[in-house]
Amino acid sequence: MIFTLLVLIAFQLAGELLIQLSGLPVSGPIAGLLLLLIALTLVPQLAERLRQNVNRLIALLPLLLVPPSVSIIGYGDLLRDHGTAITAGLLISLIVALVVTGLALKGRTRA
Amino acid sequence: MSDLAKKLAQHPLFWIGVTLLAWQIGVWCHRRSGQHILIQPILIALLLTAVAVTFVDVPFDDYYADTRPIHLLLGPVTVALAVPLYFNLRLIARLWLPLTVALLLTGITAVALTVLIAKAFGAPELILATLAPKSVTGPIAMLVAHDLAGLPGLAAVLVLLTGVAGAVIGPPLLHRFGVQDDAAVGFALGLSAHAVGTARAFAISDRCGAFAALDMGLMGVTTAILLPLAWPLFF
Repeated sequence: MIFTLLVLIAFQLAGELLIQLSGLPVSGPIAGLLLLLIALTLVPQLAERLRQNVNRLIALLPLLLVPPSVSIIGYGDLLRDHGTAITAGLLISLIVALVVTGLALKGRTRA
Repeated sequence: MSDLAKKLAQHPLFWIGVTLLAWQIGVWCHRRSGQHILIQPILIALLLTAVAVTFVDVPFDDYYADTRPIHLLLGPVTVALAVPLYFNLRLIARLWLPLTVALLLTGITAVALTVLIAKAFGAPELILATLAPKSVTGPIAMLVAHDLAGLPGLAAVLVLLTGVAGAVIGPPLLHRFGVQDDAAVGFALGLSAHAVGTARAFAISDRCGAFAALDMGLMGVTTAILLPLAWPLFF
């Protein structure tokens, strides 16, 4: 597990560094994700080595999201004022996006 | 509240303990319900923790600072998403063209439609920037919402709600439009309903799940790169 964490932290820091140097408008962890993806393509053994522990970490992702999500306790007024706009925007676009993707791929995914 | 309880709540481990306990209760409820799609551990954990924070009456910023050891891991775990993305990309390399077209079509539809509708209902830019990344996985949505000057925490909650709604209405809706192939259903679920949709897709079949996971990863990365670039053109 320590090796996995070390790799992930190293790639996140490398991502942060890349952004500092290049000024690209991408977040550090996303740059780190892309750098790791390139590294895995070049060194497939690394992917096998990381696989098991990474799956364990990703299973905990929802837990990591609990603390930032608790911030909604401060957004009561905002949600009351714009609840309709948020619900309509979410639901309508969700339905359309589901149908558009489904239809775009219908009959085109025979591997 | 008694002085003793107040002292306990000030211990640096208290809020980490509360959050882990709420999560454990959520996991337990999820299992007990036969892994019901609406009984998500995070929904229950969020509800219980929010009630505890309100009841003890600590400012959110204090709670957030005390639980830093938990959410500090969000960055490394976001980087870790490269690993399943790598394996899933290898799995379906031959289908890259239809998948790329579907990805761009839905990506643009999802973001543009969400923002336009919310704007038509009079939502301010703060809300629009929070809503825009609602179709990508939680940690990436938070990063994008932050980049667009929205509210990352609220974005994470909206992502969760979108995921649950998509996982519930997705499969019957797609079948009604005659979309039967597991890969197409999986891709649609991953693209529109990310993590919860992916879990639902794995319940349909492994192939369905792999396509959902692939799409969740691709959509997350694409949105994280393109949305912050495109946003200033419109606002």
